[in-house]
Amino acid sequence: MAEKVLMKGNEALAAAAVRAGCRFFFGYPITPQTELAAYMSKVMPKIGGTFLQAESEVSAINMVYGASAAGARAMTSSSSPGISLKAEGISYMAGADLPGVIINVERGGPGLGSIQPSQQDYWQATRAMGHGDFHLIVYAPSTVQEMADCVYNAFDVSDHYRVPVMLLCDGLLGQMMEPVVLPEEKTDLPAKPWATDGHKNQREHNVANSLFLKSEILEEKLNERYERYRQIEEHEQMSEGFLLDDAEYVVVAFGASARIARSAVVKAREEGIKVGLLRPITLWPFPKDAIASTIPHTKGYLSVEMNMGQMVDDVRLVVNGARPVEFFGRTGGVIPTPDEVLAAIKRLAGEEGAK
Amino acid sequence: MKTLYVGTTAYEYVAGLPSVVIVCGHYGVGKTNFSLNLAELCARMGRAVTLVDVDVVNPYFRTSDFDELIEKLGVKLIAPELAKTALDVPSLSGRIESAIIEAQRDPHHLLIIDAGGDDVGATVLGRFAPVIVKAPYEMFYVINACRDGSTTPSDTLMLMREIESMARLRVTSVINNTHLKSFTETAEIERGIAYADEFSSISELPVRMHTLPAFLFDQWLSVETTSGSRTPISSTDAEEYLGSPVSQKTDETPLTPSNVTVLNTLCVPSVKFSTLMCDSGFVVQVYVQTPWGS
Repeated sequence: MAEKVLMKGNEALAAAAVRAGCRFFFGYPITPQTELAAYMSKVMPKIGGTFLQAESEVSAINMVYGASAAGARAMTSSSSPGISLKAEGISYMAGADLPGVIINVERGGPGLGSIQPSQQDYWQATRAMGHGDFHLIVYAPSTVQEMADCVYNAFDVSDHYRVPVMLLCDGLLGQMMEPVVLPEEKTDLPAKPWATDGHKNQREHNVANSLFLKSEILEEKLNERYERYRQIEEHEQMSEGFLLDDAEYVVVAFGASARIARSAVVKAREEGIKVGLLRPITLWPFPKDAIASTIPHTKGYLSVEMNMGQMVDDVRLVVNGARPVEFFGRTGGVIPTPDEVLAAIKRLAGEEGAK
Repeated sequence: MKTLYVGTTAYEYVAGLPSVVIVCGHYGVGKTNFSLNLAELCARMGRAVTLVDVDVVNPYFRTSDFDELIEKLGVKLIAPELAKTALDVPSLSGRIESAIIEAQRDPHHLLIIDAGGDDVGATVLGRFAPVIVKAPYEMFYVINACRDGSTTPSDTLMLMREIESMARLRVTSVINNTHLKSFTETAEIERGIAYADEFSSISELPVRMHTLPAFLFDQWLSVETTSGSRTPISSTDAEEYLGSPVSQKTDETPLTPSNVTVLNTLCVPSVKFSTLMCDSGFVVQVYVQTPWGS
């Protein structure tokens, strides 16, 4: 059993990615994720990998596109404004069915915003990461250990479905220090017969491409891709439930908000309110099944986020009018306190009690 | 390996510290947490303490973030001008050099300089080194066996040399701050003591303090009563034992929770204080070598 070591979130992401077989990192400095790039800059040369500080985030994502097309496990990371710059490149990757891992260590926005943590990029990650009809698989870890585990699995999932994967973290998780057990080094990486890694006259040549001038072919491509998305929605939903069995009210929260919400739920229980926490781990596919299963025995939902209300829309879609869905959030880089969330839970429970 | 000694009480130890104290170490070992604890202790022991934050590497969790707490402790703070704003530019206060010179002139003063992590963070110290070396200084190298990147004494030594090189200063003693934050258990403390002893040996530097999270207090600190039996003491009682003379212990007896005696418990943060700091508050046991050796 490996030893626990103290690592910063950003460091754990980098270390676990390397153990997952990532040998190409293309990035750019931006607070609060720079430690990830700095770690890669130190480690990659030692293991025969490649670290490049690209001239911009646009360039970095295109380098990921190229490395991925050639069959490598490649990764980039940035924070909110830098992720916006990657939008076109990510759309191209999705359109060319190229795997890859993109990490967003969110900060306050919009615009240059603040360097403090936020969860303002939920919509961007799950709905609008770039132009066109496509989805990314989006993970939202909430501890440093989970960050390591998520990024470690992300490469496998990405390769399996040929869909780019995003990890939506936030500055708090990226900067916090927690004990981690790093996973074992992966040795058996899956073969990629579609990769542009040299046909050696053994096969037809492969092309990484998102341009399809014939409309019927593009439609066919999209249908096939959406069939893969359907499989992802069926098999890859992940969430964690806390005190849900007898819960009358459910708090839905991810990432750093989930840690705070959990403390609030514990406090609320001490005061006799039967509340539980449903923590999505995949934001896309959204854990619809887990949420839907709570509807019969609950009276209401509270979405707690560090933004102006984004994931709450997805909760409302699943609940589909059956129960009230409320929202509580702080933004701008302000982190909500357990007491504030507790007050919101009480409002939710109080309102219901009054009816 | 190291004997626990009689003699120096907390008050004498703090009074004997040179007026410029630097805290350096690997990124994330607990320098800032330790600096805050040390500042609290020294202020309580009667020195005029100023904390200087020269960390221009870490975007979050810097000494400057604790300005309200620091003021409550009666400690002054010199922080980067743009601290606590969204501008994460590396900037330093222009008052640092004069603060160093003033402290060197007045032995009542105590300047605690909290450096950023690794050699990158220590680069700032290099700029002030020519002034610092004009008078005696103490440079604590904080170590943590559980911190990724410094889990072995040899890695830890290599990092220290890199820091010394950029700081243009020599480390004078070691602070063993081995912990896994709120997940720290006795096993980590024991491992840390062994690690610190080995590090002390290869670096030829004394371990000035071993730290202990407040929540492990009653497992580790006990006092010998007149009848010879041991009773554990809680963090609230520990205040009584501050400054009391200690009983001697021999080299051969290994340190275990049952036979560690209360020595000079320097820093006893209140529960409130420790929750403000981070998950675990820190209490510091001092193993101080007396001049007449082991």
